[in-house]
Amino acid sequence: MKLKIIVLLAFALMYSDRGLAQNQRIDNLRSENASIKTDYMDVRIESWKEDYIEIQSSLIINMSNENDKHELTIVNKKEGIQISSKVDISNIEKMVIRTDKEGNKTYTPIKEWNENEKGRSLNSIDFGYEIDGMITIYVPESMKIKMESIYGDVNLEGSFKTLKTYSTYGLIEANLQNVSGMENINLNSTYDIVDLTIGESSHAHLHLSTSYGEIYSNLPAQKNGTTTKNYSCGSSNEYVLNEGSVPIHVNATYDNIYIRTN
Amino acid sequence: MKTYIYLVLTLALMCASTSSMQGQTAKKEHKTTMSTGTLSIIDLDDVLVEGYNGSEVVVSSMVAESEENERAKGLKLMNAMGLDDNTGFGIAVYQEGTELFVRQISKSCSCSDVTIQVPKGMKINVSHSNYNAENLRIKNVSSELEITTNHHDVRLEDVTGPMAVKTVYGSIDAIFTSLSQTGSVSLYSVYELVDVTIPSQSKMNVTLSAPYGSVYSNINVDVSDHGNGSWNSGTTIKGSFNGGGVEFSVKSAYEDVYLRQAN
Repeated sequence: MKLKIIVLLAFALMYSDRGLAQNQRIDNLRSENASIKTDYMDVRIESWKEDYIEIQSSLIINMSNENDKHELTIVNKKEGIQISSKVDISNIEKMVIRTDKEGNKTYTPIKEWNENEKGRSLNSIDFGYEIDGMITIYVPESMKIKMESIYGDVNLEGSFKTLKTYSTYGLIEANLQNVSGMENINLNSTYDIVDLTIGESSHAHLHLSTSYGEIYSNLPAQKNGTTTKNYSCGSSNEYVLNEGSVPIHVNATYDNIYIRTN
Repeated sequence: MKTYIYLVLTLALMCASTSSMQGQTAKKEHKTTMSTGTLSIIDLDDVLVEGYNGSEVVVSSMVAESEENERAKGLKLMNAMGLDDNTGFGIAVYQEGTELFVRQISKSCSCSDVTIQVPKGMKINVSHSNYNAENLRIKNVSSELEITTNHHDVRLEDVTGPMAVKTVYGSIDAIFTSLSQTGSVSLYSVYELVDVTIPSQSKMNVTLSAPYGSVYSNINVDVSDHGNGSWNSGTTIKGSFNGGGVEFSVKSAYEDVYLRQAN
């Protein structure tokens, strides 16, 4: 019986879920490596002391009429655990979204929109589709995490074995109070900011770089000067915190970096 | 949760009330008590430097509320040189001996409309090397002036010299109220024109040079040397005005030179 449950669970761990997702759980993790990919959802990844992964998600596409265009795929293999959240926008109906001065929205399919409805007192009219989604993933703190997001914001909390995060259009906010137990941290955003908070007593070697943004921090003045470079098109700083140890690479190509200690 | 609206076409119908959303601006100032020595202005993209009868160097800018970075509150701008933004608008002001430095350290500052009031008597050095140059204006300055810039158009108003001004890709427009005899004047643009107006009573030994351009003037220069006179080897004219005086050199390597006598 026990074997049957395990087999059933093993099969259940490789499935697809469509629409407005609820809670899901990945037991019997077969790898310490987890790769998470999302396109339109905001993501929060939080570490915990449990030995399984839990996924909580909520999503609304065009007033929930097209939630079935979302697919959440989970794979649990010894080569790695994969969690993928995708929205098929090619099949989503485009809407006219009107917002009045009070912020109330009305939605009309474009094909039904009456162009003559001009002159109404509105704040804005948008043409497109509306996706509002959030996925929260709790992972064991012994895991190596690789996170890739295209449009969503990424929020990271806790401590992981390793952490690599890539965001194209969304911001990255990370609150990593205890980095001492981590092997390395890599936070990369292309078009938005990176905001990192680490514990004041952390032993870290920070590598900060931005091509078109700036770097703000409340790091204490360095006692021993380390390399800093200023380019006409960007800046790069190295900072050794408490004699260093954990390498932390932070890059925001087109926006700012914020480093906080508390 | 952030809501994504993916747009084919967006029309924003702004109500009249939303026009007030642009926010207020406030003037921010940084003052340093100093009336002698040298003022060095480094990498300011857009600046007006104005001489005045005071005892402080005043650096100011209008800062819009919308430009305040809420997320950066409590944090300092990290700068490769270890400088602090002690003005609040992306400029560091610091002193080393008898030299006061005003240096732009932020790319996203409200560094347009920066004004620096300088006590008369202070020497002024201005340098700028990157391509973000906007306006460089110097006004009412009678002390020694040195400008080295790559991309600025330089505008000088109510100046007297002495000075050395060089710009590579920008033009120079200069209006002298009088011509100091204490030191030479050199105005040089590599790729753009130089246009100078001097008072009619100015005394100078003048050199006008435009290797690949032409020289235009309405003053009667007593010419002592006009090169080999060939049209295809550029124009260089040396002479004196009003009997001669301070060395006054105007050059544009690839464009024209204009020397005007004020009415």
